[in-house]
Amino acid sequence: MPVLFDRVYAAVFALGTMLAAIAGVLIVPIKPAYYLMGLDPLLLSFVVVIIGGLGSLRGAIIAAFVIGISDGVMSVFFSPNLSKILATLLVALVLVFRPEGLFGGKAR
Amino acid sequence: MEPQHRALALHAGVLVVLFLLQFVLPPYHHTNFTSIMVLATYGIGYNLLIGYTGLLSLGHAMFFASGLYAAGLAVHYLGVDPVSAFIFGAAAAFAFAAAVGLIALRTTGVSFMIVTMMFSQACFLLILYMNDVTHGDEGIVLTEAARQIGPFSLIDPNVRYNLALALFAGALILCFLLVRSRVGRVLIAIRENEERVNMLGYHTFRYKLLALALSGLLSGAAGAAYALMFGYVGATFASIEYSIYALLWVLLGGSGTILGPIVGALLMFYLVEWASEVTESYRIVVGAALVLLTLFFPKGILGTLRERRLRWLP
Repeated sequence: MPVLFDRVYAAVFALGTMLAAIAGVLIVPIKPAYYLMGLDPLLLSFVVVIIGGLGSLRGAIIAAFVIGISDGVMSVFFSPNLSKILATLLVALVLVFRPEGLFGGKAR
Repeated sequence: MEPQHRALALHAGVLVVLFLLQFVLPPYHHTNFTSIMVLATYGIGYNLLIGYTGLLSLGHAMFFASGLYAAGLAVHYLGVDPVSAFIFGAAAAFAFAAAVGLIALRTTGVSFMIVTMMFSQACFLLILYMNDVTHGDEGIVLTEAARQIGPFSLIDPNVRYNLALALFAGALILCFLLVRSRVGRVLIAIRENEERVNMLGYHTFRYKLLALALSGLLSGAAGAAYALMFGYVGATFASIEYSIYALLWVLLGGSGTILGPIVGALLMFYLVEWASEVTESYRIVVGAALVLLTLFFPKGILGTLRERRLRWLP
């Protein structure tokens, strides 16, 4: 049976978007809703997925906890900007020196 | 005419037209053209990387901003004269781009895009973090006295226009010569097929590093000129928006064409100008333009023109 890859892409894209939308719904009771509210999570999701390892579910979950907690702790004790600077630099360095991520094994 | 002479005539003609325009443009458009030429210089720098070497960077705002800040801070804190500040800004961006390249160029494709974007984002946040020095959020306004080159003041629109033209002409000529040189041909070959160039015995990493450093130099020179001419230095110039603008100008004008960046910057400038008159959310026009361009018009205006008619266009 032929695989209609453009439909698979579209379905995966829709599914991913749905998950993002659910996250948006869940965060609204905690954070205010406004038109730029997606900017921070966009950056953080990049950070988490890359540090966890592209295509690794386990890595993404571990990285989400590690990044989320360290971001919160550093924001409280130092500055929110500093924690973001370190996170973005970490992403760049992980992509360069350890493209498979810190927590994932081989991508499947 | 020979194709080579045609190309030479066209580019010289564009520069002459830009020179003559200053006598007929009304003041408002006169100022617009000044900033368009500076921004187009930034576009030429970006085009060198994406158009001729085939490396897509999403973080070029950091090079523009490093030139802007290096020149601006030197004037603001050290009272350096504008000419030295400009040279310092351009040199700082060159060194910074080379340093970024040493790390980022170990990756290719999507990874390179993300790495450059992340570095750029880190720079933007760093400018905000060091707010005591950089005044990132409210910006620094350079005083009139600090923007004086001998008898010429950078407040004078005519001086500004001609300096912007000189900067643009310099970048255009550099790009024109580079693309036709041996090095330029190696860069284009890397864009087409890096592995083959490697196999032929060229050290592609060095060529890519050179392209990135030169691209950073031109972007930084544009940034430094922008700071000195318009007397304002702020963190917005390091934001991702400015990386996307450069991409947009180059794509609209035609990536891999020498005149593409100025055509793109000119059209985009007036498009944004028009859109912000109509609606406050003018960024939607920018976004829509980017989507439509990549989907339906990937070669841009001059790229399509070259394909259909003017095969000699460099």
